[in-house]
Amino acid sequence: MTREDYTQEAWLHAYVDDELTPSDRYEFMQQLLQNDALCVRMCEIHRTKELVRYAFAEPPSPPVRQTRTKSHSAWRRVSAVAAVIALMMLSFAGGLYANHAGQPSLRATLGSLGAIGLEKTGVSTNPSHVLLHIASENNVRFTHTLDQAAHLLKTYHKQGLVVEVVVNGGALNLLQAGDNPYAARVHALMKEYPNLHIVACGTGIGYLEARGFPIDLMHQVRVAPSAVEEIVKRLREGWVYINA
Amino acid sequence: METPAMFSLRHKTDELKKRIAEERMRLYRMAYAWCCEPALADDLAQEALAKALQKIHQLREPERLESWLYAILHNCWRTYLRQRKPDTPLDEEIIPCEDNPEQLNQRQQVIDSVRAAIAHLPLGQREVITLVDLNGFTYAEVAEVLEIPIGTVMSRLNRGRKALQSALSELGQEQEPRRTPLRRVK
Repeated sequence: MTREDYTQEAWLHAYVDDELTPSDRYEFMQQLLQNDALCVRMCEIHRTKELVRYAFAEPPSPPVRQTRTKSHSAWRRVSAVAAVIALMMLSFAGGLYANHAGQPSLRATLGSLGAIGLEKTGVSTNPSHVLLHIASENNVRFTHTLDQAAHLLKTYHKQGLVVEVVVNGGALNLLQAGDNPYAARVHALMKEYPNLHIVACGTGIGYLEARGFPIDLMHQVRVAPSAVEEIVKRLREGWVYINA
Repeated sequence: METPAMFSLRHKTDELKKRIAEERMRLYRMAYAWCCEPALADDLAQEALAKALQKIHQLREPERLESWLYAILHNCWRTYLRQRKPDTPLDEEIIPCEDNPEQLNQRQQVIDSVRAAIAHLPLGQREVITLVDLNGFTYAEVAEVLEIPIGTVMSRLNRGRKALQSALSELGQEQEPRRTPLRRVK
């Protein structure tokens, strides 16, 4: 989509929904940095999005029924049985297509992860400095982000790789200290990989506190003034950015 | 005897079927977000899955599998609603859902409140928000799934999220959860 398609409010939604091109995204981040009201509005949209995800992360299980409702015709039941059989048969096919490719270069790996830098604006990028950004309270995505960080640090440690995971929005809840299933994993990873850093968004924490959701962060986590500021700063320093 | 071309075609079809099968739970979740009834959501997801497997040869562009699949689910859902409410324009229709009776703790209260707020959105807004937020569809993909202009996607998203923010503004402020009177569709 082009920027002419957006009004100010639509820009915010498009930013939160990752609809902007990398250059538009960067430009909009700069606006966010200079406009507190816009930043708060962005946080509100983010929070709404996270609440929707949170509310439907685990929908109730469908009831087990012996018979279907009257609205179901016979062909639908036959189709359902056929679908189940197809699923069972296909579940065996999954393991047939394993990828045994060799170890790709760091640049190739980063490219495959959708990494972006600011080369076009004249900034010299350094692929050994990687920023992973996560904003959603999504357990699968957060686990995947930690896996990605561990994989990169393990595979490319000889190149002096540094990984910073920047967390804001609903994902801040995943950095809670105490009874958090990720605490042990984060602790172990940061012990194993000294070049791994986790940074939380100070603006987001303040916003959550103001709304009655105080956050007690894991002690290993550093707090930046804001995630947007941290990302912009790192991009200017030549880091590559991955929207995890 | 199977030729290489036939093998390749069968291999591609099997891959597509596998990807369709893997969407089962997400289809169910989306259907549940739209209709708020587990049994109906299960039926809709199953019906969409069955239709997709039957019509797989009609899919011209495999990279658009996901939007094609959710367009089928959407058709199943709209067909269901039209059978229940013929001659009624659906997009701006309020079709509320029954809320869960027990609120066990604060987390459950939040979940219930958000689900109730979603259920009170006009149907068109509910569909757009859930497709974008739950499945991460792009605006263009949502436009394709729902067969509406991309500008309509954006305006529904804007209005829907504002309505949700208004409905959920009290969350986390130590207030009794609002229980809005809901009624069952059928």
